[in-house]
Amino acid sequence: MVQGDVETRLLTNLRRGALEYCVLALLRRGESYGLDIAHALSTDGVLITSEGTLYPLLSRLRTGGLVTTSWQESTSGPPRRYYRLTKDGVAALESFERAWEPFRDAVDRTLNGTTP
Amino acid sequence: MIGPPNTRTAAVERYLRDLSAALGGVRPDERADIVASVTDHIDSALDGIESPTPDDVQRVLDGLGDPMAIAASAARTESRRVPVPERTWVPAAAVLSLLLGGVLFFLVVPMVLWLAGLILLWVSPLWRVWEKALGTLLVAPLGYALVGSVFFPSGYVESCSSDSTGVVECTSSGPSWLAAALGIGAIAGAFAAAGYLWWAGTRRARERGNQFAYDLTTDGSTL
Repeated sequence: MVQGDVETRLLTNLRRGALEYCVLALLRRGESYGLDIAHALSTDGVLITSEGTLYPLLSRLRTGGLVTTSWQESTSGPPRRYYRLTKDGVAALESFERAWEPFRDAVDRTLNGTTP
Repeated sequence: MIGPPNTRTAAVERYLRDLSAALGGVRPDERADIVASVTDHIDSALDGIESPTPDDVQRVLDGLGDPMAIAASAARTESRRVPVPERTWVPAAAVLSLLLGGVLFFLVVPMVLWLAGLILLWVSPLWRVWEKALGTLLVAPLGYALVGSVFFPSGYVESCSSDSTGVVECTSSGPSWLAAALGIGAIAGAFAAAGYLWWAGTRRARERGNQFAYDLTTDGSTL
């Protein structure tokens, strides 16, 4: 397997655990358009590679009751879709935060060889 | 893009068609949801531009990326369901079929029921091979054959003796204690094995159900 393929697979697997929580975290700041979430996530190309891959994830978060969406009339142009966190979404995000820091620190310590 | 949706350019329409086609393997309601979101993304992005040029449109579509990549992402988060042979009702169904089918094994319908239970037992990954063998042998006609041997006439112990004139006389003296013990042991064994298979199978099916739930939520999808 080409080195690039290995890293791509690796990133995909790493994202699988954290990406939805990053989306939830962005929504915690306030309801957003899909476009804004996509732009925020794609700035460094690490979290998502192409903006379109956000939408299956948002669809799943909706099905799972972590996010709700509504279409709202805009002054110019077609109605636009807003996304918003639900209570379950807030709770899920908080669970992730509690788990993430110790996990991240443990991985970092182990990689840096500073585990006691 | 200022204006109603029917002024979307050909490039946008083609992109959305490609996306819908690439999402062919996804559930229809989910597919429609994703396409609606992406359409909204495109409309919103172009709405911010005064007079979008074809280059502007292409830039937005490039930012979204290859429809195939979006479909791949949808496939990765596709909801997975516990395969049928591993579901929580399977142990009960298999064990009951074997027990009920085994009781009246000499009739056709129970025989079919027993076979169905046997197939389920062997096909399902919920039991180890030795457990399946246990189910086949114990929770099975074997148990009832032994029982039958106790209560049917041929199972009775006969003592035969021949007297001086060569006449053989046989008398039945009821089931021997050995045959009775074997029969009771077989019944007890059959029910014990059935109970064990039911308990072990149900416990493992529940674990798999929980594992699927965990996998699904970390994938960002749900039950």
